[in-house]
Parts: sequence; structure tokens; C-alpha cells
Amino acid sequence: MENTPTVDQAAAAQEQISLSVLKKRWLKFKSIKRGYYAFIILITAYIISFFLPLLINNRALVVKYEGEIWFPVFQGYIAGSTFGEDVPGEANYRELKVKFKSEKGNWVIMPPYPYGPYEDVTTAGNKMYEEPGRGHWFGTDNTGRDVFSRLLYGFNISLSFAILFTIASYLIGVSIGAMMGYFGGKFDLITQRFIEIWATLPFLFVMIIISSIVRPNFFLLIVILTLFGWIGMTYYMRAEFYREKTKDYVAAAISMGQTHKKIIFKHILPNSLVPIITYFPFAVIGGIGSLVGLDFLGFGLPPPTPSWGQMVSVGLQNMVKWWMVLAPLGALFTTLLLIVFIGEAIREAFDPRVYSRLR
Amino acid sequence: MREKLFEIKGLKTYFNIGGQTAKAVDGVDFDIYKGEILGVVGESGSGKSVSLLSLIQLIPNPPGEVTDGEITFNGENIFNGDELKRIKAVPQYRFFNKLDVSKRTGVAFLFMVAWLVLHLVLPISGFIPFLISMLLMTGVTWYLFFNSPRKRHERSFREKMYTRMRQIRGSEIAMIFQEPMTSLNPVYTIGMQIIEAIKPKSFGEMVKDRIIDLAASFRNTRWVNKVRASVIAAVLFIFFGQLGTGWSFQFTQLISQALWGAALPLVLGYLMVGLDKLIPKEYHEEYVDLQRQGIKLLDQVGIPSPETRLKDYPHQFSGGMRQRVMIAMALAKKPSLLIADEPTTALDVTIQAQILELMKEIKDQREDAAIVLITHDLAVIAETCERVIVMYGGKIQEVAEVKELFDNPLHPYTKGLLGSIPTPELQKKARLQAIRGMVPNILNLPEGCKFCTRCDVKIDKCDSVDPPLMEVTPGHLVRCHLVIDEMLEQQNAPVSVSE
Amino acid sequence: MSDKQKLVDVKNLKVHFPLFGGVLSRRVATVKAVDGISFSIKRKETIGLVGESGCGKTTVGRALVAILRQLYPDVEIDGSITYNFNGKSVDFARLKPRELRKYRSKVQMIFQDPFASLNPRMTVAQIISEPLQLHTKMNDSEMKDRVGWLLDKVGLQPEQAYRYPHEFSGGQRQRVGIARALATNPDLIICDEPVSALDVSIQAQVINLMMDLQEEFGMSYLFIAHDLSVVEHIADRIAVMYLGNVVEFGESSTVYYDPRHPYSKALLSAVPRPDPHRQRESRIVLEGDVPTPLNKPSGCGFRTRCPLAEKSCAEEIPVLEEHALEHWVACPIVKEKNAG
Repeated sequence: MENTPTVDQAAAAQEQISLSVLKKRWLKFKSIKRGYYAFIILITAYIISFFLPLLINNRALVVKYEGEIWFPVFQGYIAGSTFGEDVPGEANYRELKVKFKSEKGNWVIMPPYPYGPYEDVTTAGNKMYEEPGRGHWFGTDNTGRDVFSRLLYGFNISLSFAILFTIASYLIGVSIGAMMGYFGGKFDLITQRFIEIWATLPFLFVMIIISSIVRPNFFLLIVILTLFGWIGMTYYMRAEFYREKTKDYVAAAISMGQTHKKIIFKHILPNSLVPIITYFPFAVIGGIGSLVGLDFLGFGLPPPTPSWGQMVSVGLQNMVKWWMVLAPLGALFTTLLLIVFIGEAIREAFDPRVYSRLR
Repeated sequence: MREKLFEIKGLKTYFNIGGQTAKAVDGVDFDIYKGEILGVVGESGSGKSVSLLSLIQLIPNPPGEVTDGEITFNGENIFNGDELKRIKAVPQYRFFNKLDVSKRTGVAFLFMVAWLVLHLVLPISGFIPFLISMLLMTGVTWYLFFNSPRKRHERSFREKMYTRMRQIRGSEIAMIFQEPMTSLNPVYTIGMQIIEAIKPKSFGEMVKDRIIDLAASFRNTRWVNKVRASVIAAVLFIFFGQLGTGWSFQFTQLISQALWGAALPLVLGYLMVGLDKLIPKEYHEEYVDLQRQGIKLLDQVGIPSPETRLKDYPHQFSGGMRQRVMIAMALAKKPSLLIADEPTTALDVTIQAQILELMKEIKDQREDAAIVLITHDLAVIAETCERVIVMYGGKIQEVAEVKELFDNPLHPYTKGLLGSIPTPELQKKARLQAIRGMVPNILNLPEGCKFCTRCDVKIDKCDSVDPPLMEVTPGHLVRCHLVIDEMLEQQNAPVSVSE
Repeated sequence: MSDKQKLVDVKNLKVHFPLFGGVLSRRVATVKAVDGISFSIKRKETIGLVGESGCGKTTVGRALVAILRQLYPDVEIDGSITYNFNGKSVDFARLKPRELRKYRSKVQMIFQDPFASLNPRMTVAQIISEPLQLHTKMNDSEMKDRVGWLLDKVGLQPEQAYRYPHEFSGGQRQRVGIARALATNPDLIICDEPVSALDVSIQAQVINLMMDLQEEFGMSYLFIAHDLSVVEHIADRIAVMYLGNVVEFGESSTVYYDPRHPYSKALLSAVPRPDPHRQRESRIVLEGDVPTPLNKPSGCGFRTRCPLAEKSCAEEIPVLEEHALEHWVACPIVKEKNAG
């Protein structure tokens, strides 16, 4: 029995209405401004990044040509000859727009930023190593691709990759760790030995071998990374389940005759969420980092997928073109910093102490 | 009348919890006499531990603060709340005291922006003038908005008090806590910790002690074991030396490695002996004397074979033994006050009996020392103490000699506590006289008498007026309207009121 | 005592926890937490189980609700725990978990730590209705009524049902724990130190509540505690345990006022009483500490601290013998002395 008043008492005095523990933590998270705003910014940016084809694209949103309306963004490849262009291949909508200005009845509506991530020097009008300016905000790279649009498309890919990878590895890690902690005994022993062996597999060599056999794509990469990434969570969950299992509420549930499944998922798991939630942002950072690393080394996503690692690698080969180095590194830094802020705030929100450095 | 060791008047300790003030101790007056065992009893949140911790200024600040009161130790005033109040009466900042904290930063920011704009508008050019102007701006802003002479005074006041209190704590006051394992350092032997408690050592002295220990153990080692150590070291040297030279197995190399290895333990041992010789004889004698004192202390608290146990680590002791070690360490300084905060709560009944017995023995041995026993268990109080303070809601509710309190409890809370314990006189399976309701939240204590929310005999004014602590019979003080009213009716004489 | 009255009969119960160590996790030692104890509980009766920490009293309680196997998969349980539910006798020590589930509702448990025994992520209503969902076929509104009724019975307001445990004080949480145990109308409630974590004034309330509920619903209690004065007050019979064995068993007032076994005598004299006039000279202060159940002394477990110990004590484990009517003591030396 403590004599000094605890946080709970203080919080209970403030909150007259019943709030579950998670709701309270959410309120505390909201009160940590830096992390909360970083969360808002990142979530908004991520949601917007799904609509990038409408905002940043070399394909026009709407084209009216000879009384007919086209939606190239949704329709995909449309040959230039359809709109009366004499160049072979896909229509160049930026040139079309200039051309249609003088023609009555024909018009083009381009996205706000009319450069796509895939078009390179083969498209008329694109130059290599163009400096940042009015047209290309962050310049162009060694193949004449627009750096700004690749950066933003890369943001979506990196974050989606990292989140999917984290969720996948957590699903495996949490369930195996939970079973190890809950059942203990022989199962725990055997799984632990297996994990020890599995953890000694050299990840990079396996990666190089696999990518020399099959060309990795987005989902294959996630699967491979997950195969190596699930181990970390098992340690936390195993310890957490071992600790929670000895608490009396589990004994109470067993004495009622509750099933193993219900005890694991209804009783213990909700009380073991702390490591899952607090490590999530940092695991996302790890995911982004590994994707960038793999891309940098050339074992990641196949070109011309816009990826930050590949951009950094190309930038380092052309160090004098400063925008090619600074842009991807800056984007990486900003994103990781925002996630670190979120992670920090989450950890703070789950910390039972009252006095904190943040805020 | 016995001599007073401590005199506490109107002690107040407030905690700041999320913007709310918890009055953990709210105006507590009591004295500690020399040579008594004083019991402080109360439930969780009653402020019993906090008031004793405030007495020796061990409240973590922030969140807690001893805001008011007066503490006198052996006639010397240590803490004076009036002085603190006088310091606090001065406005917090030098200027603009009406601004609150959040507005203050805003205004300061605006001031800095204005300065910057002014600097840019005025035709001052050059980087060095700009730098000087910026430094000046920082200084002026701090002086105008954040300079607080009061804070400085407050800090120096506390620093002075803490320094004095640390001296007193170091020599006169000892504490025993509920969980002995957390108060003992697991990486040092009991002997080292006890000697440290008898005489705090500097780093140099600790090194000297280690040298003395090592030299002594080297001298006491048999030759067979010395040879064994040499052989092991030689083999290790050969192994690692060969590892380093790529398994060349050259004869001269092997010989030199073996010799180096064999020599090393002996060289180290004789180095220790040599260093030991360098240490002055007086220091040796002092060290031996300290060890003897440590053994004597362990013997005093009833630890069997103290010479050998001195070399053991805390985890090798059981819970009761660890508590004994804690008591031995507390006694090392020959304190005049021993504060025991729930010393037996974590222990078993038979071990609790041993420890309580030991505390009474200590009291008999050292006549002018006082012991304060903080506990929630009235039975422990009845067994051990001479005088009892009953606390509830951060205030003292009743003070009396132990027999008086148990025979003639006056406060309804004390009566309730006594009724809550099953006694042999009570008929079996009869309902206990429980106190209804629950302990009020410390942030939300009632306005008047702190006990009024649970009291069965309360009258109207209990809700609004907090009764004073009044002496009913000599040495028996109660804080209850009913008792006071009854007493005033009986004798219309003036009574001493202390509040 | 006729067998019909008996609710549960524990015969020669042994609970051993093997300890594993080394790289290959071989068995290195055995903790004999409970080492062959026998007692029985009658209907509507309260049995007090007292002893110091590490004597195995909690393990006995957990064995009686049959949760040991699920908590510690390696545990070895021997002996029998025969329950008698409406004329049907069931041995909890042998039943498989699936078969046990049917009888779980009949034996419930109240825990020591009111902060750990309630799932912090569930509301009080969810906590109390969980056993109802498992063992009854009530629909939602019936369940809601039942939860409100139970909360009322344990002295809480039904409006508090939708709050979370952290909003309650220790005493209120313990009341929620009692309501959960009560939900399925059990025949036996194991109370594992239900009041030792509570404040003194709250202890009395909870004890009163438990006595009232027994009066009303007529279930039996196994009251595990180290506070002897409370146990004496609430229990009909008391069993004193030391290092996994019962050393004395009998009517509570007999054991309390006329203890025969040297350990019970020492334990009772060590208990502090709220009476400052009591003569203190008669107190027996035991030397040393309780040995760990890992390396029990041979023969009588108490002989290392016993003032009466003789050579013969090391040879065999003493069994409970009836020294007086309904008063069993496990000490042959005391018997000799009384006879001689």
C-alpha cells in the first residue's frame, strides 16, 4: 500500500466518466503535442499519397478531343496517334495541352504537377540532370526522370511496405511468442531452439541468393523480410505472456473453465499490447530502413519502381548534382523523424509515470 | 517530563498531481521524546509515512513540497515555515507579475520579434553588431520576463536546510524500510555495507580497504593453491600466446609464455602485500577495529556466526535476516532516532515476532534513543509501543499512551479501528464493528472533519468545521467535536488548544 | 461425521513441482509444496488454513480448484480430491480438463491481490458475467439482471457495472471478486488471503460481507490466511500447515486456545494481539527461518526449529493422530508427554 497518491488516483479524480485504459492512453498521447502533430501530418500525407496519380502525373486527367472525352489517368496507355500526334508511343499530354490551346473545342486538364515518376529522357522535352526550377521542382535525374514525383511515389511505397511488413511480422511474432509464453514447457523449449538457429541465418546472403534466382517484387520482398523479421517480437511477447500468466486474473479465468483460446486472446493479449504498440513505430522505421538498404544495394524492388534507396544510390554516383542526393535523403530524414516523434509520444503515453520530459 | 528530541508544529506537505493539490500531510503537531517507542498508525493514504519523511526532509521535490510548519531538533530550529512563507510572499517575477506562464512566453516571444524588427529597421549594419544585439536581446528578455529573485531565495533557503538535515540524518537519524532487499546493494558484501554505514569512506580509502583484504587473503592462501593458480595462469598464457602467434610452438616462446604466466599471480599477490605494507599502521588498526564493530553490530541484532556472514552478499540472507542487517546498519551510527516504516509487513508472523523483540531490546540497550514505528497494524502497536499517534486524512486524530488508547479510545475512528479487529472476547462469527464506506480520495478530502464521511456519530458541524486537536486528559489528545463538546460541558474552564 | 455431509474429502494430497536446469533441461530438484495432506470440508462449513509463507497453503487452494495443471504443466499431483456434488462424487485430481469444465462452476476462488485478480481491460459487468456465459444459458437481459443483483448483494451499486477495475478502491475490487465467485452459486469458495492486502477498516467490512453471504447462500469456505485472529473468528475448524504438511487440525477454538503442536504454539504466541496488557514473557520466539521446501529436513519438517526435537524426529514423518476429540496433531513427542 502506497502512501503517496498515485497517478491512477489523480486520473480517477479527474475523469468522472469511465474510460478504458486504452482510451486514457489515447488522451495522454493527444496531450503530447509533438508526437500528436507528427501523427496527424504523417497520416494525412499517407492518405493523400494514395491519390498521387490524380495530383502528380504525366497523364492528363481529362482530354476533350474532337467532341470525345478521354480519362487517360484511369484508362492508362493511349497512343499519341489517337489525339493526332505524329510521334509513336504514348501521347505526350503536356505538349498536347500547348497544341490544343490554339485549337477550338479541344482541351486538356493536367494534374497540378504534370510530371510522372516513370517518364524518362525518351519522352520529348525531358532532359537529364535538369536543375531544380519552376518546371521540375527537385530537378531531374540521370535518366531525365522527375525527382519530386519519384520522391512522393516512393514515400507511399516505402511506408506501405514498412507497415505491411511490420504487421505481417507482428502477426507471426505475436502468435508464436504468445504460445511460447502461455504453454511454456516443451513447446517453449523447442521453439526457442528453433528461433536461435533461424536467427543465425545470414539474412543478406539469403537475400542475394534469392534475388539472383527470382526478380523480387513488392510482396515477395515483404514475405522474405517477414521470414527474418518476426523473431524480435517473440521475445517480448513470450516474456509478457510469462508475466501476465502468473497474474491472478488468469488463474480466475482458468478456475471458471475458460478455454485456452479465450484466455490468450480475451484476457492476456489485451494486457500485453504495450510492447506491440510501443515498438510498432520503431519497427516501421526498421522496415523503411531495410527497404532503402536493399534498394541501395540493388537487391530490392525492380527498376523503374520509384524507391528511395535506388534514388540515393544514383545520387551518390552523381554527387555533384546535389539535388539528387539531398532530395531523397531529406525525405528519408523527415519521414523517419516524424515516426520517431510518434514513437516517442506513444512510449510516453504508455509510461505510468506522471512527470515527463516531453510536453 | 521527558526531554523532547523532536518538536513538530503545523507540518504541511502538499503534492502537486496533475495540477491538483493533494494535502498528504495537513498540519501535524507532535513531539518525539527521548527514549520512547512512538507508534504511528493509519491506513494507506493517511499520511503516516509522508509526515515522517517530511520530518527528515526526504520528500521528492517536485512533486511534493513541505510547505509549512516548524521542526525543532534538540532545541535547534531546522525548518521554519514562516521564513518560507515570507520568501513566498514576494511576487514571483521581477516585472509583469500579472502575466501567467503561457502568456509570459508569448509576450516574451513578441518582445524578441519586436527587437529583431527594430534592429532590422534601424540602419545598423555588420555581423558583429547583429550578434551583440542578439545577445543583448536574450539577456534583456530573460531579465524582464523570467528573472525571479524569489526562486533564488527559495533555493538557497532549501539548500541550507537540506545541508543541515543531511548532517543530522547522517549522524542522528536512521531509517528501516518495509522491503529490505531494495535497500541493500546486491553487489557488495554485507561487511562492506556495514562498515560504510559506520564510517562513510572516500574512494581512496575504499581502494586501501580492498588492498588490505586482498593482501590478507593472499597471505592466508596455502602454497599448494598458489602453485595451482600459477599453473592455470601459465597454461592460459601459453594458449592465448600461441593463439596470437599463430600456433608456432617455438620452444623459447613456450618457455617465456609459461614463465610469464606462472609469475603473474605471484607478482600480483606480492604487489598487494607490498602495497599493504605501504599503508600506515594506524589505518590497518582502524580497519580491523571497524570490522570488529561490524561483527559486534551483527551479533547485537542476533545474526549467528557474524564473522563469516560478514563476507556474504545480501541475496544469501533470508528476509528476516536482511531486515536484521538493515537494523544493524541503522544502529551503526548510534542514532538518536530510528524510524521504522512498516518493518515487519513483508515478513512472516514468527519472523515478525523476532524483529519486534529485537527492537524492544535495542530500546532497552540505548536509553536516550527514540524509535518511531510506522504501521497499519494496531496489534503490532499494542505489542511494541509506548505512545501512539492515530492518523487519518493527513491529520492526527488521536494521541495517547498505548494502554490509555486501547482501554479508552475517544475518537470514533480509533474505536472503529479497534472494532475491526476480531478479539477473543468477541463471540464467534459475530459481525465485526466495521467502519462503513471507504478511505476518501486524497485529492478530495471533506471540508470539515476528515472522518465525517464515514463517522456514525457525526453532528452537523462536523461537515464544515474541522475540530482542533485538544488535550482531554494529560497526554491524551483527540480531534473530535463530540468529545470536545462533552468536555467543555463538563468543565467550563479554559483549555489548552493547539492547532 | 457422515459422508453425506462432506463436500470435499482430500486424501493424502501431494503436489510436487519439478525444477529443471542445465542445457538439456534435466530435472534437478523437486519442490515438495504439498507433501501428503488429508482433510475434509463439510457443507456450510468454514475451514481455516494457516501457516507462514512457503508452507504450501496457496498450493492447496489452487489444487482444490484444479487450476495447477493448467498454470504449471509440469506439476505432479498425487492423492485424491473427492467432491460430492448432489450425491455424485468427482475426483478433481484425476479428471481431464474437458470433464472438469462441467464442475468448475461449483468451486470458485477469491484471490489475495485485488489489483491483479481482475482483468484491467474488462468492465465489472464483463468480469462478473464471464462465469455466467460459460456455465449458464442466460440471455443478455437475464445476465444484466443477475449482474446487478450480484453487485447489490456484495454492497456495490448496479450503476457501477460499466466501470473499469482501476476506478475502484482495493476493498471495492475485492467485492467485485467476491461477486464473480458468487455468480454461479458455488458449493465451495476458496478464499486465498482475501483481506490481507486491504486496509484494516476495509478488512472488517469484507469479513462481515463474507459471513453474511455464507449465512444467506450456505456455501463452504476454505479460508487461507496468515492472520490467525481473523481465521479464528471466521473458521469452524483450523488446519495449521508447516512445510507442506498439516501439523494440527481441529475445532478453531481448540486449536486457538489449546494448541498442542510446538509449531502451532509458537505461531500463536508470535501473533501480535491488540492488547497492551498482555503478558509478554510467555511468548515463544522461534529461532531461525523456515527451511525452503526445496531441501526439507528429513522426518519432521519442523525439527530444525523445534524446542522439543529429539533424535527420533529425523527418522520418519509424523502422521496426524487424534490427541483429543476432533483434534489431530502430528507430533508423537507431544502425545508421549501428554500420556506420561
